[in-house]
Amino acid sequence: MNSIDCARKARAFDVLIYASEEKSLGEAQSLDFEEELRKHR
Amino acid sequence: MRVRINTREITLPDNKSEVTLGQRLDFQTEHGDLLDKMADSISKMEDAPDKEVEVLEFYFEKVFRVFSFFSGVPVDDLRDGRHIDKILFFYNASLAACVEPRADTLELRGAYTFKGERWELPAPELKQGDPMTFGEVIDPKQMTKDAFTLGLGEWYALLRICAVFLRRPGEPYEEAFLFEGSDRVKMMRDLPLAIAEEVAFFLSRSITSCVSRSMYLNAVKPRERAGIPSSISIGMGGSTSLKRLPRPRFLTYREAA
Repeated sequence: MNSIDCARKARAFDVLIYASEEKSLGEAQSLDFEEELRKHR
Repeated sequence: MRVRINTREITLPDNKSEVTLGQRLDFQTEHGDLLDKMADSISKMEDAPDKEVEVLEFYFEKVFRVFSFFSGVPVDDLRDGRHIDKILFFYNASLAACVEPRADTLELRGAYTFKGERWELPAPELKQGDPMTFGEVIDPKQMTKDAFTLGLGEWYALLRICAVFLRRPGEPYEEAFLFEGSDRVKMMRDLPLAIAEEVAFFLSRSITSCVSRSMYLNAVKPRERAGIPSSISIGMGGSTSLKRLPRPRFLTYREAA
């Protein structure tokens, strides 16, 4: 079973919460990265 | 309801419980798409006497086509006007309610009897521990999106949504339910329209619940500051949004008080 099939078989609530958390984390990391770039310019 | 026109005895449905989802889909293919185009064309006209005439003509066209579909009498035979009073009576008494969306509130029962078996809808609110799989969420969503992209319409989509969400007690979801020509899709063609409407209502409640609770399903807002990507997509499907889908008319029901 590949990762897509795993996600499809997983509970929707868990997948959506995980995806939301990952999205928040990604946005936070992007903001941190931008701040670091600004400091070093 | 039995009706006699000339020498023919015709049986007409009284309400949506006597109309199947397959019949509604066939009506849409045979007449509904044409009527929708006419309605769109009229709605773009400027208010003038010409428009009133067009509206009246559209009304009678709709009445004839609906009556023709359920009675089997050819539309041209109805247009001769000899039975217009009877046709209008039966249309307004029952047929209109069989093809028009319900304007009043709808109560979601959640359990139904269909073909002598019990069928259930899942709870519309997704909660922790809910057995609904992600496949059940994403498959109908993608199918609905494809249906509207390909111009197949809301009834085509609703037939397959019923195949996914309406299941026997304890029956697990299978992707094969959605396959073209699957036994489940064929079976759902016989589903009474009254139940199909509740499935549509369930879906609208479910989408509202998911979108309001999950940041993942929310539309990505444009970033205020420059240099930050407008979309960061990690996980399945990226930053997709159910709101981008054309809003089907069957999603406009209100929850019963």
